[in-house]
Amino acid sequence: MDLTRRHFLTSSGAVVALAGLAACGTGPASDPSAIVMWDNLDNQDLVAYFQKHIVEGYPGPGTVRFSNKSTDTIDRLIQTSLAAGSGPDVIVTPGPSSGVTEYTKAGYLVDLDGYAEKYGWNSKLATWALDASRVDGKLRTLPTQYETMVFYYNPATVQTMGTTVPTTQSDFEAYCEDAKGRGMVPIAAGNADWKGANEWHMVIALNHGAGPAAVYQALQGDLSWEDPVFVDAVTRYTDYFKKGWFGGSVEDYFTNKFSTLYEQLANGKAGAMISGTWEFPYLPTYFGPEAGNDDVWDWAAIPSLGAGVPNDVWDLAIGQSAGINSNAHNVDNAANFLNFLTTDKKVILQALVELNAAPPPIDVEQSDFGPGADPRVVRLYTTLSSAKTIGYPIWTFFPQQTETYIIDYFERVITGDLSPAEYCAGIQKRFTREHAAGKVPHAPEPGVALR
Amino acid sequence: MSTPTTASTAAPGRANHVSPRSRRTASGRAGIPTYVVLTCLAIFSVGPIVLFFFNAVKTQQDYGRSSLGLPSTWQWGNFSAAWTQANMTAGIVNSLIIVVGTAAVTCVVAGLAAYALARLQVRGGSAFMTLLLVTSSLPAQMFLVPLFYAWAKAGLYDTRLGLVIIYVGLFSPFATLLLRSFMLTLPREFEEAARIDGAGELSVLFRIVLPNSLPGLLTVALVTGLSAYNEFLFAVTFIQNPDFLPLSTTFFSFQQGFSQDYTLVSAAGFIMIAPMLILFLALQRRFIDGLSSSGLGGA
Amino acid sequence: MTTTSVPTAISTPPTQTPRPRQSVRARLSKPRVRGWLFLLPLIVVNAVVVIVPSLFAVYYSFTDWSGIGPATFTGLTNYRDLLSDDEFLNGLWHNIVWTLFFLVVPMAMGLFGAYALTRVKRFRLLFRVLFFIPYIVASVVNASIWESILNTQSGLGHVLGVNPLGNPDLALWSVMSVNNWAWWGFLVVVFLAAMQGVNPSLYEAAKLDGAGPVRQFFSVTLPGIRPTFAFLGLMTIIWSFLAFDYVYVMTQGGPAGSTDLLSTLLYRDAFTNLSAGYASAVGVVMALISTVVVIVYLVIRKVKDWEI
Repeated sequence: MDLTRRHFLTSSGAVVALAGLAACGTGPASDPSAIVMWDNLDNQDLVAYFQKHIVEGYPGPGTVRFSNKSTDTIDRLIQTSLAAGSGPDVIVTPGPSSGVTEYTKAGYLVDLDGYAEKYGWNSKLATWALDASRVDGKLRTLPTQYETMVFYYNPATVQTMGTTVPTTQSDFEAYCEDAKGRGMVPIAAGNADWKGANEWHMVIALNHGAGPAAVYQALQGDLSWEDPVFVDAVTRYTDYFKKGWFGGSVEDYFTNKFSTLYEQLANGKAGAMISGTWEFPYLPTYFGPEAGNDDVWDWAAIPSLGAGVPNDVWDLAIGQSAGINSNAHNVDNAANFLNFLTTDKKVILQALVELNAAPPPIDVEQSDFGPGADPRVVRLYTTLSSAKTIGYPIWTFFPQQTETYIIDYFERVITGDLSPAEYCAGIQKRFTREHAAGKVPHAPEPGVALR
Repeated sequence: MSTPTTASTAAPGRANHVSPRSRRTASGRAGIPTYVVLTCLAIFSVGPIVLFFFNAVKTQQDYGRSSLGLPSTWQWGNFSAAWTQANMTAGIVNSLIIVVGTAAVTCVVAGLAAYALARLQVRGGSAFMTLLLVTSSLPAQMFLVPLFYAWAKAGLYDTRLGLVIIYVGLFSPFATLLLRSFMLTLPREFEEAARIDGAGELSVLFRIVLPNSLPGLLTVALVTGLSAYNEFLFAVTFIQNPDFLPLSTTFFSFQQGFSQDYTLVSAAGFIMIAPMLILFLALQRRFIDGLSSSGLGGA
Repeated sequence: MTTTSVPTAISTPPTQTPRPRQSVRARLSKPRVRGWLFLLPLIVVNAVVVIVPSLFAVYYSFTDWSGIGPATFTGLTNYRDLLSDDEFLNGLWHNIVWTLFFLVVPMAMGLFGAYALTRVKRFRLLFRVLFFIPYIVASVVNASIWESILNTQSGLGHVLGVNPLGNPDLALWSVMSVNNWAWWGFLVVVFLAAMQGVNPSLYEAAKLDGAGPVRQFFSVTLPGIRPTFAFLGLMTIIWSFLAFDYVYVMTQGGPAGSTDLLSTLLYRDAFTNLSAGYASAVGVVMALISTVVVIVYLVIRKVKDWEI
């Protein structure tokens, strides 16, 4: 092949490739009436269910186009796409405070108060949740999942240990000592898959170690986070870590993946697991026929971990919120879909019963559940519907920078690089700044009716 | 006939400059101990990948027993399971498009620029090269967000073309320097002859220099292609549509979501690296020789 | 380390002879000007993708931009905060440790491997290929491979009774070692090519002087490949400050910040903590460090009159 022919072929090849790329680049024409939603479901079953019952099950107007993303990257993907003027029509956030204030400030989120009136959200969704979803008094997101923290256990394991599920601080400590002595992992824990797990533990330390009343006061700015009640609670709880009660050892806590925790709970290696009710959909894979064993899981309230703290405190949290992109092609359609997502009881309860998918904070009663519903699930949501004492999870009720600090620096406390007092001082410093700037979400008073 | 290994960046008057024939340099034989150490190093290098392959064909129980041992049964089915679950068909097609596109365009851009720096006396050429070096040492995370903003405005976000342009921008500087070093080794006679005959510079480039630079171009294509194939930070930020995701991204998210079944993750990972391994093993002489003859050796 | 591309030598273009004055048209068609036209595609694409966004990032470093919405100018606040930020100093320290590690371990292994290969007669190509394989595997996959090997349930961690990635004292060394595993083969290839360019008569002379293989290495080989060695030393320093992939995939900067690098800190601030302005400041500092290193290198090169 002479030089000129070769040259011609290569350059025309390049042109063809580019043209092909350009054609590929635009992709299939997007349907302007489609309501685009991105979510981060971790489980293939949930994705299939969502596609079938929610995406295709949505009666309209408008059709839904759904794309599932990895939990690690979805926030960044939404963020950067919003910054560029695009992004999904329905925007999800891991809670009503994460990023929502910033999105609102930037004008990305539609004010939902008008739609709240139209669809009657104020009576269908829990007041505490809607309150927490307001920014500067205006409703910007709807809670799509709510959850609480519970004490997971394997009844067979508890029986082997010859004891009962702990409800007081001394019970809890005895339980853990016993488990440790038997070579078990007292409480399965690990943050290898999700750094945010650090804040789950702080939720327990603060709300169950210091008590929800104290937390509420601090959130109002009336009590310092450096107060001994908090420092003591954090010290106690991080000492549990240092004793190797969580995950087996501090080092193992850093490398334990969630799958390890579930396995340990199932095969009796762990005495318990403290986590949120969002775990419900992930457990069936490890317990029972699906997993090829006959292990069973159950849940109980978190025991009291401090003097004077009740043992039926429910840390109510909004696990996921959804708002509407002000750049959406059709805001009304998107709002209609959001309404379907959060209030269509039939679809929601079906997802709950079939896949243990956490529901939005709507009213549920025993009678709403048909036969065949998992009794643990029924028990949970009926209990929550009538919860009296609530705790304040960090991702729902704390401001952004404070939350980030709590997550990022927790590890240094359990490795001993940072003292609990210094840690609390850091929390106080950031909290006062954000409190002064009015960035603390609205929290319901302890003991007040939640609906 | 392989290209000269060392006549590269043609710094005249260099005492150590050596003729192409003597590839064997250090005199003296290496004894058994050297071979033993080299073999240990080879096992060190390749062993983990072999283990990875073993893990890909284990059952979950086997893996739970030991991540370091041999499988008791060979689960070839893992590969097809991983293929479907991690959506590899789309991944491979997308990776192919992106890799070929990036390599092709980079060759053109770098070819033009390298010729300018090697043959056309460009004022400030050396300063320009320093600038290239500096800009390629900028951290990607720094300009990621402003770049994203610009791309979305231009409609290049969530397109493979957009990603290819980014890769060309990222990889061309080094490709240019590499190709330039290579071009400096080419004898100037043919070009001079063509110029005397009245050929314009573009013609000289395309009819003489580039065809003679094919080994260098091939190296550039291989190296750029490899970088584009393995890159994942930009891929995961700039492409959303699951139909357009390249393999590096699908593997990453697959790994995040399926952490409990490591055998599947291993199978998926192995599928991802297999094409590159095969390509590399087939072309390794070309690859490595090209790399070394580009000017890193000697000079 | 991972590299986005392969390094090459830089040498200065030949000096230009003075030319007589000419008309504008004649000047435009001069190779010098045309040369810049040939460089245009490269300049354009590099500017659009790297330079312009980086300039924006510099601008943002002087604001309190969260990454979403508007950015308010705050002057040098971010830079002031950086200097007293524990996380920043922590990350910087780790980058320095990383740089020192990579200037020593892979370089030594690369030199050793290459030198050993120059002295063996058989299987040289085979060894070269085997050493190089980890370099061509994507960092994501390599990180996954090693996470599995090191894990404490069924891997090395279990066998040795340690938790390489969970122990704050071991984590950074573990991640660096994994990156080293993937990187050193590349150095072998490059050094081998360089060593093959060394004049064999120099070795003969050294042997006659009674030098054994080790002495020969230090007195003949090393000086003989000095330009390559120096250049790779430069690139090692620059790339060490950009190291990201392995830490991000294996430990995300943990445990307890023991593997946090400037790049992971930047990433976290930009995308998780919604402090893009602050992150840009970190980025600018990283870029400044690289620039200083390059300048120092160029000055030394000028002063010592090296050719690379």
